[in-house]
Amino acid sequence: MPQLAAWEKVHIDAEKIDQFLNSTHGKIPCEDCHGGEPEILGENNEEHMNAAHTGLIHEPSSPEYVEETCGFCHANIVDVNKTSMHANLWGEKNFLAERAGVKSYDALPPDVKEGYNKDCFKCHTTCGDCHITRPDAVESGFLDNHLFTRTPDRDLNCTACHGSRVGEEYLGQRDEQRDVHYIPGAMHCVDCHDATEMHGDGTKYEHRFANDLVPRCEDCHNTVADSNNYHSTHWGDMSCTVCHSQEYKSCNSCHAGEGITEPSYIDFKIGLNPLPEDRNYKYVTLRHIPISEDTYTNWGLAELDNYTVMPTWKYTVPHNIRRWTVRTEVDSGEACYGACHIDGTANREYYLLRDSLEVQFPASGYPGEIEANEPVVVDEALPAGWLN
Amino acid sequence: MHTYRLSLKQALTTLVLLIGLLALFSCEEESDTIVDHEYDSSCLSCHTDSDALLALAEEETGGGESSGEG
Repeated sequence: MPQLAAWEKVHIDAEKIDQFLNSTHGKIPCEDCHGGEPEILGENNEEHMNAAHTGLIHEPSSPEYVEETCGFCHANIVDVNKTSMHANLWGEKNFLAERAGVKSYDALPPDVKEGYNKDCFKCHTTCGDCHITRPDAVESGFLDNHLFTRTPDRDLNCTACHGSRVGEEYLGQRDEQRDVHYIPGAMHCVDCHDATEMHGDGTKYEHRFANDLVPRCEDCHNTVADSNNYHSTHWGDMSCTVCHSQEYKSCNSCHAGEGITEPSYIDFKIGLNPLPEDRNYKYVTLRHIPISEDTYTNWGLAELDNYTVMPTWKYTVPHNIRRWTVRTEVDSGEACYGACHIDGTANREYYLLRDSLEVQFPASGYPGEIEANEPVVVDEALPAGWLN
Repeated sequence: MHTYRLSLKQALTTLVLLIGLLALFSCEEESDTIVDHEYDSSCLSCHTDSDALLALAEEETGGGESSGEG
């Protein structure tokens, strides 16, 4: 999205000022949340600004202030949000610790935690990042003249962070069709991802799928288990996205402090479910996450002792759902499984197979890839004869 | 001369009413601190003035232009 100039980020349109002042939050003195010394006047604008900004709190909803600001009225939300995924990024922290071979994020070397806070943690959110401004990750700026918005804006908030995969997929900004749930003016991100999921329920979960707050297709589509032969045959065995999502984005490598270091690519892979305890499917869609064995070198973590402890192909829910996809549509007269089951060389590209991994990630350049992904390759799980 | 005596029920009812009134006024008082706030316009005088903000931003950064696509 186009960024705002520095002055635009804090500008309130004079025509909107009455709307702000008449709103609940507009009746609270600026300094109650932002501190500063608005009574002190200077000789000119610059002096006045410097004096008024003495002790200014740029982000009143940041963790060190939030209980005194937002929490004054919204204590329950602030309280549960302390442990939320959005505010803490537990999953990413836990996976980093696990790959580094330490018991928890707190046990990581100080340089690594410092690097993480500097390079990665800006993607966490505060109340203000969703309800007043754009998130810090996209350089902030008022959503609408410092008006507080109850529902975060899809473009300025949600996909500002979740844009390159979820946003582009959902809105159909690549070659594929937009998500069937994207109905302009009708459905919003929060219709599935509600406030309880965003704010959390006060429990510290290990990662984003390790709870029931995350929506599932079946929450709404709860009467279709036997609605056709495909469903009758595969319901419960496969996540819905195995059949109903289009191709989606994967990344191979990210270097701490530098960002993604290899081009992303559009692909589609069905693999074994790496999270069977949290999501009860056998087969799911997987994406390669931006990690490699030297990802954290810049933070002083030259090698990941436990790199192969978990797959680099991760459980994913592409946001480009369609009823009819290349796997659910077959030509007239063709068997119903013709577009999906492996038959000779047909349809092999949809599955995470050991031999294709060896080609994509040769051992010379990616020594740990095959071992890391052994739990999710489908070779041994496919029906007899498919790979002959 | 008549002597008025409150029954226990009447006394309790009166007490409850008094507590209710007290709570009502307490809430209103708390609400009024927000509603009746005299807005100090010094922050807004600058933050609604795009020319002043732009001038200050340029003085601070020597520019003030957006750095591009996010």
